[in-house]
Amino acid sequence: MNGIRTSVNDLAKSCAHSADAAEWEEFVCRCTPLASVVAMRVSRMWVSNPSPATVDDIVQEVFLKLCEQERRILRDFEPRGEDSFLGLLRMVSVSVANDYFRRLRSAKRGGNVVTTPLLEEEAQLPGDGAQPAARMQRSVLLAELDRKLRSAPEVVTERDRALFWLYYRQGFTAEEIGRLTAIGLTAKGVESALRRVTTWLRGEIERRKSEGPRESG
Amino acid sequence: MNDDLNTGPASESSSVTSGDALSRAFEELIEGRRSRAGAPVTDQGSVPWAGPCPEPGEWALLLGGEARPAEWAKVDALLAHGAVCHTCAERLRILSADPSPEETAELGKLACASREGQRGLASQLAHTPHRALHDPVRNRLPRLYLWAGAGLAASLLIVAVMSVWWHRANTPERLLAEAYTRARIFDLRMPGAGFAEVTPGTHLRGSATGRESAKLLEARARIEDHLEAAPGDPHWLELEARADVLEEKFDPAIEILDRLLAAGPATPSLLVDDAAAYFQRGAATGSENDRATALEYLRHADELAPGDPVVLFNEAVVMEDRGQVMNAVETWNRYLRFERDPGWLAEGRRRLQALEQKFNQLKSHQSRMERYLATPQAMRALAADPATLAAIDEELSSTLLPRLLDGEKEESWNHGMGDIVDTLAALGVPDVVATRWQIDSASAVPMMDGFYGGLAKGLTVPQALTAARQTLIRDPRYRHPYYWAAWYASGGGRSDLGALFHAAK
Repeated sequence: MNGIRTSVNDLAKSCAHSADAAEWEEFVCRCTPLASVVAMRVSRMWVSNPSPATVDDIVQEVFLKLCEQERRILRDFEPRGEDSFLGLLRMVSVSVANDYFRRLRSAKRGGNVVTTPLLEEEAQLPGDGAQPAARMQRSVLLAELDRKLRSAPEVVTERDRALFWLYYRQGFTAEEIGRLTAIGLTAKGVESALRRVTTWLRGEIERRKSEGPRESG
Repeated sequence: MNDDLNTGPASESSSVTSGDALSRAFEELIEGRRSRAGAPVTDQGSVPWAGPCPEPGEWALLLGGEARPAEWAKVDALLAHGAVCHTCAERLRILSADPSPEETAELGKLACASREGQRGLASQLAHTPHRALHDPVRNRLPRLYLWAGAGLAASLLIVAVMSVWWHRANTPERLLAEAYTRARIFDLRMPGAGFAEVTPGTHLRGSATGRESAKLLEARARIEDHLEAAPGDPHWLELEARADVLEEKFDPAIEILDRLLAAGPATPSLLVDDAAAYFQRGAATGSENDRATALEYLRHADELAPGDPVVLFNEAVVMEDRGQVMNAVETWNRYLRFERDPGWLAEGRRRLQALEQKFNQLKSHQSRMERYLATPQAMRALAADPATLAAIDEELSSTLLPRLLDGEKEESWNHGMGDIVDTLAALGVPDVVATRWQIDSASAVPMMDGFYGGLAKGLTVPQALTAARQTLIRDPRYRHPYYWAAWYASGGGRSDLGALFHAAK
């Protein structure tokens, strides 16, 4: 390895055909943090308190997966952007971790997925304090907003609409959405899209207000 | 889970919301997002319209780099689901988020995070099976693909060639030609047929259909199929007639072929087929007219296709049959110049040789017999000479007498003519002009012109005949003795016909 820090993409392509231990060590060192965090998070989806050994096993399986069939995944890797290999590694890690637990469940014959309790606490919370009637009214209004968004596909695409709700309903940040590399937008791009959709939607609502109320009977 | 984006039945009621309420809800949504600072909306509920949640592994598609066009639909579906399903959205967030400080601390305790652990793992991974960058096997792959492609192309080519060959080899024309070659039942040739010796024993006589060859039956079936689709197609009608000839069903064949010739155009192939049908019917029935028609058609075909070996072969055979020995010799010689097939070439040579031999025999025979049979006096002298008669008795009895007694028409040498001449002389005809063998009628025209021209000038019969012979000898077409040597005069040679001609004027 030379002194210049090689990109993880180049490292992955190089390791596809290399038996150089130093090169591999660098590759493992760069990839392990992501593989281990994904392994740990997926493990938590399956078991409430995964052991470090389980996560270690999954990480090891991730690397072995990369080396299967004469390192086919590394050989077939085609960079789609800066450090895009990490995106691929994330996919492989999720897949390997899920397979690990499926295998385990299958072996136990009757083992089952632990229902993710991520939102249970929130579900038990009073939320934003709304009463059932108010919640229902709110649902109706949000559904109306959604219909507005759907009504102009030439202005608001399906993806724009999904971004809008991920951001405003699910609480994703622009950075988090930008991390969804399949969308192909940076955080700035996400913000720009959101601004465009929000501006358009506000204009539509204002236009409706100016046209006059249509109260329910 | 939430149901606030329900676009099902509940959404119908939402259409009656006021603009103010909608505006208020929108602003609350915007403000709420700000105040929650990323926390999700917490009004949970079922979301049946969101459909079943994707497998946890499926969310990785959103994290694996920019999607390919083929993956866009799946990406949109995942995003749409994540937008309405809190559980999946949270799962996605967990998978995509950077590690928190707590997670980082926890991960730091893992064995795989240690330098030693990573070194050990890297050492193992470095020795896993892999393809070197210049792997000879890999380098060979393009060549292997090339060879495989070439092999495939060659196979396809062979299949195509075989298919074309099979198609051509199994056309009804070919099948008929093969049927002819397998059992050649007559002398005449069939277009496209290979050589075979004549096997008259296999004649069908138009009725023994059970003895038809498989090829002929197959050809028949296919011809019938085509004629069902196109009853008036000349090509298939001609083939049907050809099949009829092979089965010796001459009448229907002639009927079809005459109709086709009348409709035109007259092709050499059509003329050859029709000539074959006529000739074979003539041979079967003894009809002179049929065989003469056959020759007429073959001459026409010869004019249309002067170098066609099949036409020349058949023409020579029919000429030979018609007693046109010299024409047949000439046609056989022409045929030998054009024929390339060794079998047919050998037969042509054999036939020519036999014809020439026969011709020479006839000539020598004629010259030998002429002195005994040329005049009634000579015949009477022969009858009075038992020793000579005994010497030629066998020849007379085997060759000449039966024909003389039967009055049968000679094909190549009119021995019966001597009988007629004798009879005419006995009846008191002073001079008789006759031919010793059957001659080509075309050559008789200038001969008779010259002969009667000489008589008109006052020449005697022998003188006029000699003058006419001289005229014929000078004509390049009739220079051969075959044309002029046949003529002879019998009688006193003293008839003066000049007065008769002048009186006629």
